[in-house]
Amino acid sequence: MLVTRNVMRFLAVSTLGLAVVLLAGGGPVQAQSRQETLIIARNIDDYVTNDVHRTYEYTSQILDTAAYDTLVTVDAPDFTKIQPRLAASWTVSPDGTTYTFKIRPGVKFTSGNPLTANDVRFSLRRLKNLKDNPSFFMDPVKDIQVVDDLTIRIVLNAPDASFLAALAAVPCGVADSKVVMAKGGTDADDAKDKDKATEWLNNQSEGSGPYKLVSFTKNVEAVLERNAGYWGKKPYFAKVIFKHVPTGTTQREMVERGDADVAHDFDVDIVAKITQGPKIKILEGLSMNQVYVGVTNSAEMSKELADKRVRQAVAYAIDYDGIIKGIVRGAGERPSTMIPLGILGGDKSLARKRDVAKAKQLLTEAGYPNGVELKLTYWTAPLLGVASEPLAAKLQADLAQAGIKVTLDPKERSVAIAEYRAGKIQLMLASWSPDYLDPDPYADAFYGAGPVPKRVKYSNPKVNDIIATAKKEQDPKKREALYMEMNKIALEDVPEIMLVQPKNFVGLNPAIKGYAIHPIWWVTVANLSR
Amino acid sequence: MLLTYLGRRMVLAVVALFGVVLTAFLVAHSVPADPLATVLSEQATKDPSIRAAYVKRWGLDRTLPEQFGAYLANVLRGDLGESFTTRRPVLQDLKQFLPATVELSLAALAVAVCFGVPLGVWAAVHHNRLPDHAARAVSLVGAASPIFWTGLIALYVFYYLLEWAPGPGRLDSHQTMPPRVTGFLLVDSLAAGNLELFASALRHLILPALVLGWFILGIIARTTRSSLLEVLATDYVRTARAKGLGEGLVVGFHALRNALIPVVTIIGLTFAGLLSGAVLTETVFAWPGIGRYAVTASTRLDYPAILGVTMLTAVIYITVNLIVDLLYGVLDPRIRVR
Repeated sequence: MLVTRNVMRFLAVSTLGLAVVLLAGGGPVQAQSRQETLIIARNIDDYVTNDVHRTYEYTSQILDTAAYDTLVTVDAPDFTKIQPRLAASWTVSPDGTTYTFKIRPGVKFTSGNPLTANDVRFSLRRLKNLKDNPSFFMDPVKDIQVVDDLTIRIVLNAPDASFLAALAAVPCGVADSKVVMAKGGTDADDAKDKDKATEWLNNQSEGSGPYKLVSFTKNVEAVLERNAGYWGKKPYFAKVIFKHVPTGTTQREMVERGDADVAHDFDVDIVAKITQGPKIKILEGLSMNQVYVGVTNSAEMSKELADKRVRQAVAYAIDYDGIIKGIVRGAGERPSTMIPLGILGGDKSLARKRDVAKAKQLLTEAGYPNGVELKLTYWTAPLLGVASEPLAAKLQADLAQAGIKVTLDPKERSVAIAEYRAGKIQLMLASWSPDYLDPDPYADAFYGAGPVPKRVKYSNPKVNDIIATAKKEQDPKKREALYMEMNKIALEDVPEIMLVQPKNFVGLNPAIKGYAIHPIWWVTVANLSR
Repeated sequence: MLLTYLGRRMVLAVVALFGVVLTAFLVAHSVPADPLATVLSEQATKDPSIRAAYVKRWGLDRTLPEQFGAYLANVLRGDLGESFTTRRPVLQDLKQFLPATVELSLAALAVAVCFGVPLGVWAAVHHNRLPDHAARAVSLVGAASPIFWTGLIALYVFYYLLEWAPGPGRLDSHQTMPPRVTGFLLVDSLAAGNLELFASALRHLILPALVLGWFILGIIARTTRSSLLEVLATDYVRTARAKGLGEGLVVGFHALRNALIPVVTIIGLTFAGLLSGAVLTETVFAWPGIGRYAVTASTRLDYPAILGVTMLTAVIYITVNLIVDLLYGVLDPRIRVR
């Protein structure tokens, strides 16, 4: 047994060696630096770019809002209140079209360059002219003028009550124009072809925020370091590391073992298994996301659904409470329409209750006493954390009770989205996450000129009028009344059926203080301490 | 002689690669989906000029033959195109993710071979007795357990409960990557002169390598066993025994060498399989390898990335097969290339 004996001996020695390495812990790992290092375990594979003027994905928004200052911002506890950030103050002209911002003096970029109105103009123009995902934030803007080094004037095409909320969005962050231009960046009209700065900005930030992005490795980690020259309150953590950990189960173990301070990808099933205590605590917050059913109004796609009464019958047949209780384990709310709770016009009072008898009656009135047959399209990946397969099965069962026979049509996400965007659906289970926290983008996206009404072939001139009036209305009370009027019509017309506004969960080391779930960028890391 | 043989193999490799790329291209493009659907935001679809900019950037406005021709021309220049989703050259992506996979695959293969071959020999020598049954149990349980399950359980027991093993990822969570030289963390940490990082990288490799290794150990042990049993029944082994050679010499020297040919084939194929990515292991252990890159590419219909990964996989299989064929000659002079 010459060979095997040698192999065995080799095995014994190497196993022993490995065991020694395995058992020897990391040693007294720089305790102080761990104290001042925040470790966030998160699935970061949504990454596309960290270029602040192209960013649209969650992970890069968390990083970019830490690295780049915006003129104004929104933060906990009231996400509808516009707060100053780079802008020390601002005025709005009486006609609501001209905004003049006074920029905080003495702000420097991490490069050492002073931040001036030129950088603001450059950044907002670059955002617009890159013609990338977030460029639409600049749609209302007609002109951007530098008044002096610390004053910038933004002129809009028309009055827009949602404009300040849009300016608080991460892509409106201000970058160091000198460095960005040196790296091939441009804000010119042809920036979409000429700009070459993205590759640089993917790996380091050039902003003035509390942190600087110092390295990014896709599907591995992102590292933020405290900006020593930051103008505001010095953040507690010297370093923030985002570690790519795809599964919530593993993230949970890391937090309980002390290897991570924050876990980002918890769903209701993981949360249900966790006992909170000295090792981990769970924080929850209502998201501004929506899971809904798009309902075609087009006779071409469904002659039955083109009749308003059939769409209403579908809406009456759904067991909404059962969905919230069974599918998301109670971790969610249901506003009456697509305007989420927590912003102006978000409402629960009008929410439709299940009424199967009414659904049957509506079907009979529409001429379908024996019911109708419809197809429900959806993608099999979760809808912003909500499992789509059980939800689709639940809808199928609910509608069956009212005599609506639903065929399930599961698809790969890219295929389902393509069909939806082409308007080739009858019922479509889908989700939406917020662009910025104002009712206008929601109203526009679901009831006005935005993408969803085009897909479900919905158009109501009266609703369009209300949306346009509300957009210009500067008085929040009057604005809210207008959106409530829109909600009533939307419930009657049924271009979509709102199902769940789910809660978000975060797992935390209980020593971490100051954590508040942000509905857009998850967390403002500069607010955290240990 | 060897050179002519290699030359012939290279020509065949190019033909095979072309076929693979063409097939992947056609299959990817026949999916009835919009590749920009997962790239463009809902709001961006409002503005046709944004979509137009994307379509132009990736040449999606051209006909399929034009796109394929342009792709091939670029490949010949060493350019695999730009990924839709990562927006950087596919070659750069592959260079980033492959080393992590290679590191894990080599470690897993080492585990599987070091334990699998002796286990197979042990089982064959003790044919139909207790050691054989024990070896069968170990092999079958390893091969039959879903790897995400074994992985999760291993992490739960050795990391969470016993605190023996380090957590997921390639380094401790407070450690960050050293400057990239090769992408192989064990090499780069030494290049940076950072022994602490090296030890950490090594410790982090063990658990995923054991889990992945156990999974493929079974097939190697079973192949070794059956192949060795067949050889042990041959006449020349009987002759060797009749000459009075010790059992160790008969098995270890005479029989095993001949029994290894199918084992080498299996090891080669397994290794190629590992290199094309172990998606589930990578997911559970937060291992940034090629497997997850491939899955993301296909679910997002990222044509350039899909083709890049396909080509890489084909190259890996072709290369590994060639090496295996050459190894046959080393093991058995009768089939040496002439």
